Amino acid sequence: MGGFDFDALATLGERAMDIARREGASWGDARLALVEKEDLGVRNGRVSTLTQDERLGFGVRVLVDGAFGFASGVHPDEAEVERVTRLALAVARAGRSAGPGRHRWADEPAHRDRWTSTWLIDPFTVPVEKKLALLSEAEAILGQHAEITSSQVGMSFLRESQVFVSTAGARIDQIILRSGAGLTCTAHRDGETQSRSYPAALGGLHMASGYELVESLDLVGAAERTREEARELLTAAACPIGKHDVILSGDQLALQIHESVGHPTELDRVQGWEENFAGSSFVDTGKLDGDDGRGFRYGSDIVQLVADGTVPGGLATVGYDDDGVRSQRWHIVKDGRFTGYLTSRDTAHFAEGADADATSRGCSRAQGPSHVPIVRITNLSLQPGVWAFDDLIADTDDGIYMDGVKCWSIDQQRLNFQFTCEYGWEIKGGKRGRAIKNPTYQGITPAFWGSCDAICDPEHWVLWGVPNCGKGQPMQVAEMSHGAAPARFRGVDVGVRT
Amino acid sequence: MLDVHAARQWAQVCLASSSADETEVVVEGLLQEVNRFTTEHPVQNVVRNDVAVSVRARIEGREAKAVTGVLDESGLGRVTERACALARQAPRLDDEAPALTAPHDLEPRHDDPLDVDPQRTSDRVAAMTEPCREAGCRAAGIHETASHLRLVANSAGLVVHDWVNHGEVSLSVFRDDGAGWANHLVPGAGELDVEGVAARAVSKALASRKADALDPGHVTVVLEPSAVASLLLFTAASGFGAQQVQEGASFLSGKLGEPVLGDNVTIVDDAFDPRTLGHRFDGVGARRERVTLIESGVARSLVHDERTARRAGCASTGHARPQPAPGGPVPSNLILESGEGDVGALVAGVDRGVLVTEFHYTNIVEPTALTLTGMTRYGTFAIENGQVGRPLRNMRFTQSLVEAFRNISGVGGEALLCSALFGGYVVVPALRIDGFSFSSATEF
Repeated sequence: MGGFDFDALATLGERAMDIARREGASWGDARLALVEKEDLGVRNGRVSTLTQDERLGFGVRVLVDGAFGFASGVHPDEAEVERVTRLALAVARAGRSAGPGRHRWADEPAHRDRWTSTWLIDPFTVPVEKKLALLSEAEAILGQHAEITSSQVGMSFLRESQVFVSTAGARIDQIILRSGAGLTCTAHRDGETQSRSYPAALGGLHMASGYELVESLDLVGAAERTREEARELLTAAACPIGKHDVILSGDQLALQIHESVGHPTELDRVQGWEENFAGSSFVDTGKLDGDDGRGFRYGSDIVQLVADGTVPGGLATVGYDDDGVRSQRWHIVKDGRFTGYLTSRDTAHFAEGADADATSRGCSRAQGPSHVPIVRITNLSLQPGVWAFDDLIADTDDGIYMDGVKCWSIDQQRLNFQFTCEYGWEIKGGKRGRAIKNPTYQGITPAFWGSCDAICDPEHWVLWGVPNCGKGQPMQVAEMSHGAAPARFRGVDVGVRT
Repeated sequence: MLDVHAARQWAQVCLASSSADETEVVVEGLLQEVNRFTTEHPVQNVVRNDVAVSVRARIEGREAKAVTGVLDESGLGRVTERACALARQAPRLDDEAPALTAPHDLEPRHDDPLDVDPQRTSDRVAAMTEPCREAGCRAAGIHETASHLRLVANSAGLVVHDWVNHGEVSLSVFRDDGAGWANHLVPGAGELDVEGVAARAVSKALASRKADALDPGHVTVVLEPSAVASLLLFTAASGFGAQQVQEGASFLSGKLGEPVLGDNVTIVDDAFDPRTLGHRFDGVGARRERVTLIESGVARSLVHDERTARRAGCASTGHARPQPAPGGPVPSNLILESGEGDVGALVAGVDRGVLVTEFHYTNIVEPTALTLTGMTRYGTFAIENGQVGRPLRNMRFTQSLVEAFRNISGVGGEALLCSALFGGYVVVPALRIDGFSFSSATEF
């Protein structure tokens, strides 16, 4: 992998900022970044992926007379940086005629800092043969049955080295390292097809971590159980239809947090900026007060949802966001009441009651330097409760435990949702019963969170990663984490009548 | 700036410096101009220029790939060295490892990228937002032009390239509790109908105010092309690819030659149909063949790459993704053949039903029956006595696509290029489907 000369690229970025200032931009920033990736996979007995990726690029954003312009390029030398900067200026000036509104830009000190995420073992230094040997050993166990029609084990690593400069004099150097690994298999018999994953679907568990994450997952040790659960699902009972208590696993709850709390509290969505694509939000700015001045009732009293751009291991943990704002920790929902949004420097002032000095929460991120920053969910976690998992099962008379993400869908205001999990089992009289395939539940967001009456303790709390969150036009993929422990929801609509 | 001449040079530098037994170079480039706006704000105005050069090296039966965005001689030399070094650390491939694509000639879909013109784009945006303001509506939308370059060259002598260009305007309009959506998506440099899109979206927004609730249940639906697209796109990832079929994970597993859908359904994949929007060669440079997937409801063929074709005892149809591709081959130029009449004619045959403009956030519940779930949005109306009537609140459907496509009672006469939330492009007409299952409702 190539090196990254922060100082040389910062000099080019400063060149862009000089041009932006001279041309009358009230704000300008440039991000120049090297993104390095490594992907390894073994599928059905052979190495299916062995790829290293190294991209160097840059993006320049300017604010001219209240309108933003952004342009990006791939070869940051002096001439190309000047061309792209002038293109961004032309885009901003032309865009001025499209609407009467002018962007406002929240204040933030011009930070000059260097920040890196933390890791113990740099995955790019671990020999490829060692990684492939681990994947092959796990895959051999995972696929060891005639009913397994596909078995796949993979790991991926990403290092992003970025320099940010602004017309206000900021200079922020950051290095972010992320790792992930997991396995998944599909079983097939007599027309029935079922899949099971470990430790989570959609590529496994991803964190801001080094190779120590892979070593901690014991992929080889988990392969046999994962395979047998996939086979068990081939003869499992269909999901019942009706109202039942539901206990969600931590990884499914992470997705529930993501879709029904994270996205609807992005303030750009609330403003309608995402309305032509992924939709808007039911959490309008009046909900900061709610009907009784105490904030909209988002969930039961035990629901505490905390946004945290600083939590160690979080996929969205950064020193500073792509607006140059320092990362923060704050409540989105406190004691069941809605208390705050996910914001950027150009959306912070939209929150009801916000004054002219409204500051950003630091949620503006881009998928690499070739994309413009937009409001993204940061790490957003359900705080743990007090229950031991076994006690929660014993306390549940008629319920279903649901584990592993399979299908998700939610309306454009983030109210009506329907989720299907990989693996479920009945709970009868406080005891684990038969397995259930395609366990499905549905609901309306505030009523669902209002039915939460028990959350497991910190021993069961895991910071689950979402490595594939799509938003924006052009579509950008971002990463974030959601900490959660299993939790119980009372009287949920389970199953679906078709 | 991105151009074919430069892409050829980058590929040649990599091929010339490779020490591998076999080498393949793929250049993927993008030149994209997007204005994202509301009636209040120009939200994001961007021009993106992105290029990646990937080198796949095979040495003594071992294979790996390295990718770079560093395009000078040293960056290209380094990526080639990296691919070779990585390949030497890989285990030997099995005996299914496909050969490199042999040289062939192919006319590109488009000759050159589209121009970037921020002022023209901004003027078109204004032409969409002004009618919305005049009608007392707020709106959000995009104007996009994009040019995708793909060049594949290999040590067997292949060099092919293709530009795929398109333009799109898309507009969501709101007034009180009413919402309407319209778009226009055209291949190449076709003229974008900004005024028509604004007029249609405003009209739907005004007509959909004061919506009524409808109880979930089975009902005849008329789906406009965009709604059909968000269903059919899932057959690309989970239906017509040979790998999914061979592994029992597709609704077509074990069904080739059998009637699987209604006899009024014919689906083909054809990169040479001018209405489609995929590259004319696949991820390894092989020419895409026209494949009849469903003919009058009967499962006829699948799309293959070399690996699945060898397993099935047939030839590749030219549908490999860029390698490595654990997910196998996919169709990327799907066409659902049209029938007769417009949306009005489909509506006219319905006593009681629902007209759907668009589905939102469609996803797969179960792959072998292709059971999908998603929400209606931005223009849902009751159909009563053959007429479009009162507006309806949005509803969730949970429905097997296989069953739905067996219950099609009308196929519209005009097939349009459409996309959906999770991406991809298909050419589809409007459909009338009987017994479509709505499973729950939302609050707006």
